[in-house]
Amino acid sequence: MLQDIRKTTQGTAAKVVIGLIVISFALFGIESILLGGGGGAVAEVNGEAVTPMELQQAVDTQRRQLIAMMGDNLDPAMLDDQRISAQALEGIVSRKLLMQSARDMGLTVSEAELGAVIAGMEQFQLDGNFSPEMYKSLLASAGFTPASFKSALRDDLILGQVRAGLAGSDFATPAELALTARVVAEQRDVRYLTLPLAPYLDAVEVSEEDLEAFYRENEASFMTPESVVLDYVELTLDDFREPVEEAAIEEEYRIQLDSYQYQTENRVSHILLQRGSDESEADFAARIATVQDELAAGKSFADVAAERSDDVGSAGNGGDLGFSAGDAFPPEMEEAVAALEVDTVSAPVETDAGTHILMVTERRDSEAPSLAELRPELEAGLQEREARVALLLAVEELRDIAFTADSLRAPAQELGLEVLRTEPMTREQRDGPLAEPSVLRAAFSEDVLELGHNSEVLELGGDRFVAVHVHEHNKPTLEPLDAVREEIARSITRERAREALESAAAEAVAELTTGEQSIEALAARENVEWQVELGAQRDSRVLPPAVLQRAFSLPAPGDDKPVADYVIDASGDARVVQLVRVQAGALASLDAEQQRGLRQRIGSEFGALLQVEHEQGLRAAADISVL
Amino acid sequence: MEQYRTEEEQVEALRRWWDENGRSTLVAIVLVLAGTFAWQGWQRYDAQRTASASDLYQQMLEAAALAQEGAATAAPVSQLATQLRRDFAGTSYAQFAALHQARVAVIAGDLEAAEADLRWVLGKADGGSETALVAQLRLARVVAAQGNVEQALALLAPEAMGKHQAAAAMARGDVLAGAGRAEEALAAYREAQALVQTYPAQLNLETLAAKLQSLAAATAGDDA
Repeated sequence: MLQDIRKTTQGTAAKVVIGLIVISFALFGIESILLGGGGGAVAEVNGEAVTPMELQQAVDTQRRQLIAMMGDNLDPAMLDDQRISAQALEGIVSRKLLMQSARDMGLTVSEAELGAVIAGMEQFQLDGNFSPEMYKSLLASAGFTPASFKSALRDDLILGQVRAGLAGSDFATPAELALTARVVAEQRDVRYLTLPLAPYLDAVEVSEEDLEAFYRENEASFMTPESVVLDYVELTLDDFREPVEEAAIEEEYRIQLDSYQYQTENRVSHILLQRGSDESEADFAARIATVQDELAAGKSFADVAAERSDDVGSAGNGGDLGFSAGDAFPPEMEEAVAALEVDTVSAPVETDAGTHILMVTERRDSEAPSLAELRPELEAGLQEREARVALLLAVEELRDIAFTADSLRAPAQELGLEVLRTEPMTREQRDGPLAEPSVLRAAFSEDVLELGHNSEVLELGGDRFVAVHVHEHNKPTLEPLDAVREEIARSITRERAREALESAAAEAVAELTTGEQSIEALAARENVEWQVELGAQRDSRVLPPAVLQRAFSLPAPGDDKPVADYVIDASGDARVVQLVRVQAGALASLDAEQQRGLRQRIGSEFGALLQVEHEQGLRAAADISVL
Repeated sequence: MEQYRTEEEQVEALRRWWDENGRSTLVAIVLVLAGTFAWQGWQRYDAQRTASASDLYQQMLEAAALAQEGAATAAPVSQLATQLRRDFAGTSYAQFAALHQARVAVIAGDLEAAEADLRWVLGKADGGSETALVAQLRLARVVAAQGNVEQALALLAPEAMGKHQAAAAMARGDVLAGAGRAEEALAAYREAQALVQTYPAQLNLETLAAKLQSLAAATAGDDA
């Protein structure tokens, strides 16, 4: 085969091909050819891949946002990976579609603009100035590299440009302003009275025949729920906690001491003297002596370091070298440091770097904690470790015995446990010691409920394990009439009272619209108050919501044609509403601030609608495949 | 394939090949290189130009934000927009700038200028593109405000508005309501609302709801 290759590479065509390969490498660089299209995409949007990393990052971001938003109220189910990942993928797809459309428009953000935006972000500022360290550490903690953050920010800015260009340039024409003002600033004079439900409730009498008839007709709604009484055995971690032997605690303490380093740290300053290439030994010794003399004469270490030290890095700040736990400096130096009192000056120390005069400026001792201090922690940890092993062994044993036994008695005896019994539990049970979805699922499964087997050993939260057995199965039965008598009486009463109230209200409306009665006369007759609200607007907070809603959906009254209607509000009372006068709104009646608000409202409603339809159109036309 | 017996023969063959084809090979290589560099150069130039347009556009947006807050006049917006349209006429930025100019003109009450700006965008943008549809919708609204109801309705015809059916219906409702054609306006508003309700995104269109309620109440009165 090699022979073949050798032969063919000598042909002219082959030379041309090789030449082209050489040129393409020369012009485009190797990585764009070798690292094109990376595999393993989770989805494709018009051929653009969504990488698993991108998705993971979006999931993490969303999870962080959820936690930040909900705090302790967070339902753990909301953090479910699959659920979040579906939402996150949706978000990524939308963004990719918008970005592709923006790229088609030929939009971009310059490096300079990008830099200015980053420098201006408050999160990255320390005392009002951009801090590169802050920038890097914040990015790292959010899972970004500077490059990926810049690219995400660039996309954000470009999407902002599109939004500002299209949705942000919307307006309201004078015709639209006038039209909208007419509607939004419309004023209506409204009168209403309230017919309370309570007297009608009191007036209803329910006979024994009524009750029985209702009971017969609605049997299906008077069934008791299906329930089971469960026998169960329980294994918990606490059952297995045993006193820990003293020897074991001591052993653990030794291990702790070895694995942590309790050491002394010294903050060291030095004056370094290096012998120059043309310096005689005597001169050098004289130089060392000078330093020692000056220090002995009481000149401060920092000053001498600044003047005499050959270590330019530390000379400027008093010769300070920072802390060492005994391993930062050459051994000769560490030895001297360890022997030195704080704030005293050492004799000259020789290392490969030269001759050092040392001073310890600060000493931090970190002593090992005593056994007594650590004992509670160690004991609890050991106890739990041993208990968990014992628990899991017991769980295994229970699993074996419960599987073959036909009740829980045998397994309980074998393991020295007690068989406990629950109250009746429904399929939707919410409280009680075993009200957990996994237990209910098992209890109502065919295997356990119909065939009478023991359930598997179920793991609940908090290191609890249970196995259950159905003791009693209560099938749904019809509740006796006496048990539901009151409930039925209430239902019938509510229904009849409402009917009577509605007919009274309808009659009142009829009397109002024909002009037979005024609302005042009606109120007097019914012995209730009536109210009036002049010039109510659509967003009135004075009128009850049901009254407002009804008043604004009535046609304007004609000259001799009073307009009225009734509405049953949330509390069950009837509101009889009369619309007296409608005054169309006028732009001129609005103050400048209100006019500005109206203008913005019209523009932003069009803008928002356009944005939604734009995204939808992109999605409809896109080729999206989730892999 | 030919076979060469000795190295000299091989070198000889190469030299012959070079004498015959050397010149054309060199020319081809030079042409390819020149083409590549020209292409790269043009791309760099184009990217630089777009970046300048982008910077200018950002400035215009900042000016527009100031004007909207009432902290400055709209004059700088117009000035920057004019510059964008003149110096970067082919870019999307120029079209966005013209849309902003139309907005400034409408606020100032100069509907004719707004119409001219919007027509300019329609002329520049690709037919059926998002920018073109947005410009067309706004052109219809401006035209209607000038009293040309039929022309506005023609611009807002469903077949002309692509994916923006609900926005078009909402605008048609406004045009018809302004012309006193209440029944037709109500139908258009209802169409818009029905469409919006089929959209998965949550949209709170309070004004649309108020106009609908008001027109429904008024037309119910006419029936009675």
